[in-house]
Amino acid sequence: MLRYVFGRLVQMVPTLFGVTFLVFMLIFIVPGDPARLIAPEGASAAEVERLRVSMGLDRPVLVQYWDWVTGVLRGDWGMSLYRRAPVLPQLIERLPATLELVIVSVALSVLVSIPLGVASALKRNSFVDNSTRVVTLFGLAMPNFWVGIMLILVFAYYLRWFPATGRGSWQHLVLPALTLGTSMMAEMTRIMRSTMLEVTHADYVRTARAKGLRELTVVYKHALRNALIAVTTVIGLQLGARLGGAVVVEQVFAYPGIGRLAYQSMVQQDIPLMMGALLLFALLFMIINLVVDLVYSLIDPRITYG
Amino acid sequence: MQSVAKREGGVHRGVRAIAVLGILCTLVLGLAHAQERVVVAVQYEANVLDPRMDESFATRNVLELIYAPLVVWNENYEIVPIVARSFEAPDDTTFVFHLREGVLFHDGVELTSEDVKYTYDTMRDPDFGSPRIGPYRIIESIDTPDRYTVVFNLLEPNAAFLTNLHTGIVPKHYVEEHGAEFLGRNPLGAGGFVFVEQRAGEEVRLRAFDDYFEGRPAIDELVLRFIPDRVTRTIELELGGADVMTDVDPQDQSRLQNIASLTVQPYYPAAYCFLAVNVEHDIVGDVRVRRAMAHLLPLEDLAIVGSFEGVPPAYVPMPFESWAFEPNVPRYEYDVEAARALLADAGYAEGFEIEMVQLQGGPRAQIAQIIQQSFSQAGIDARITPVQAATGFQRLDAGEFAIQLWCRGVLVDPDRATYPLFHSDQIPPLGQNWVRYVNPALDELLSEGRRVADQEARRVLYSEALNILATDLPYIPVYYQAQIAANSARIENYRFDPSFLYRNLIYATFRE
Repeated sequence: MLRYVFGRLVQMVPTLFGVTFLVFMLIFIVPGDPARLIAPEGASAAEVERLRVSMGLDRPVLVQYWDWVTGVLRGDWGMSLYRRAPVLPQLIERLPATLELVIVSVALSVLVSIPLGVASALKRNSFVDNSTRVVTLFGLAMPNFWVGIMLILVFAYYLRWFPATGRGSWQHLVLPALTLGTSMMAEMTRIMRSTMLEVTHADYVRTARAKGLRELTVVYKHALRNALIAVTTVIGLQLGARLGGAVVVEQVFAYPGIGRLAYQSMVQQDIPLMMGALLLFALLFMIINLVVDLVYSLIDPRITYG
Repeated sequence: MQSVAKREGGVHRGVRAIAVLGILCTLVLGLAHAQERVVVAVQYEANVLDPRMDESFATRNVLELIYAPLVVWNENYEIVPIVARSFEAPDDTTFVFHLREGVLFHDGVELTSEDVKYTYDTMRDPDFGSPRIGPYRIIESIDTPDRYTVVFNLLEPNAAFLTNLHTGIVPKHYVEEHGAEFLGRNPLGAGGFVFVEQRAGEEVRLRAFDDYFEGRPAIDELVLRFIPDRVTRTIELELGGADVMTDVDPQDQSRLQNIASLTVQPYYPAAYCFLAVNVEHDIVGDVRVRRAMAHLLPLEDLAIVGSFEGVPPAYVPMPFESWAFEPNVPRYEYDVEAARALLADAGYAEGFEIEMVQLQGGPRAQIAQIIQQSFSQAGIDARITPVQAATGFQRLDAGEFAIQLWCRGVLVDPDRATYPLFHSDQIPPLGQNWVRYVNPALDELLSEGRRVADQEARRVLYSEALNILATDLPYIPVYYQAQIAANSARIENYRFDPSFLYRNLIYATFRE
């Protein structure tokens, strides 16, 4: 088991290199000039050039990438061009806010979608099933930012139940977490429903029924447990995807997390900050995937990592 | 024994009574002086809070509350002394400032001429690395004959120099003790508000400075909350979660005006939008073609689409609030026939095809389409290329454009609105004469406008310069970009200023 984890961690290194290298190259292919954006409005081309040299942006791209990589290996993630402050502390400062948002939204989705998916599958073609299918289709189709604005309009503006923006109390989390969780809730409910349908027709479930087990035992001990494996994969993938979704949701709700920092860094072409946020996202994504793989073995004893 | 015990009990009772009374008094006084808290909803986050380091609008809006500058300018772009009591120009390369006495920094230390000298000396020092070094290169030296006098000696005459002295004064003793980086995170100035904390991605908190030299602000606590999305900002304003917003969507204007708890104030920032024309270009280099294009612009409609109803159309490349604004210039009324005639005269009776670079942002995409539509009436086939700011500037610097639609922000002095853009010695890479316009008569006027200090004499010079520009049209004006501000109606005497958005909150009061 430990050897497996270690092996997976080693595998992350080339992947991280690949991801960061690709993005670094992309940044330089995309037109734009951070020096021009940072220079005051009255700056002449000559002054912008001076600024570019002082920021080290005039050097070859590969040299800049190498400097960045060796810096990261030494624990120095660089200085933000705009904020003139080290990148790593800024990311760490914002990390808890984003993790809080992502975890709450995933937890919310799990709590809603698993019972709903099971109910939908067991009472197939009932009113519950049909309305669930319509609502989840809607949830999948709606873009994040639109859902966010609608939730603000209804629950913050008209009903005044929750604050529209900011962070601090649990009330602040409700709307952004719901927004971030909508598509995940919808997708998981549908997957839960379909795998439950599949599993309830499997041989072992028929056997369990034939043995004369109570229906509840059949559903929860035999069917659900097997269906959960598929859902676990989705949770893992969705956790990663939520990090991306946080970029949009944090923007709408003025939520002070990494997503918004990443967004701003892109708008401002703040390369070190952008790269830092990307590296952190990539790391988190890979760690989540590893954890999901390990969780499989808890749910399904047949899966072991030798 | 008993009597002693009794007396002790009496003492205790007395102490208790005083304590209760004290608490009551505190409560009553506390209620009488309820803390006035004002939340400003801002679009962009402030960065380094050192006035020497950052010129971004978002940061400056915070800086102007914490730090006090030598001078600011009013809505007509006339200079108003702040930390300076008065100033004079004994000759055309010297400016003498007499400082007010008793101006205190937030730590109680008095602001003196040494602090002013230190602020500008560090900023113009290339080793310091200020991105704002540009305008201060013409300083030869700064003298401090006494505690309250500062003398700026310039290398060459520059009447517009005063408009570069709005930088907040930093405390020399504080920076020398803690370093510049510390100042950027823990700003300390002599302005109306004391820095409390900056929460990354969330807000900047300030509180009233009791000893502010213009009088303590009525706002006890001022919070600049960073809310990036405009719809969300508007909702927070309506919900009371924010008290001030300076960029209301024109579509929301009438709705907000009907809300009793809000005051809506249209204001006019000094931004104007135009078509910059490369005068070295084969086709648009011909002034007749430029005049034809000007005749094809429906300026009244463009003003409404670009801003909103009530904003005057643009005729010259200068904000209309400026003291140097000249309304009497050649105007090109919307006239397709006149445009056709001019094009035929220039040899383009059948029209021509041309690329129009459009800087992304604001309503410019829509504006570009209107212009495209309008141009087509005289056979001009304009292809729109939308670009990001950085790409747009690269193309301007390289001269790789025919016409480019974009906007220019706050330009305080007529010199800054004209000299860097149209003087022949400002052709890139040395300056911003991106349109490569060369006119000795204009050069003469602009150089003279920089030399002369008298405002009336300068007004005459710039009037003539604006006439030349309206005749030759290196820039074809399109519209003024105006914005609408709104604030909670309990705040009074808060006049929005296009250049210093929040600075006037120092003087705001509350409705009884």
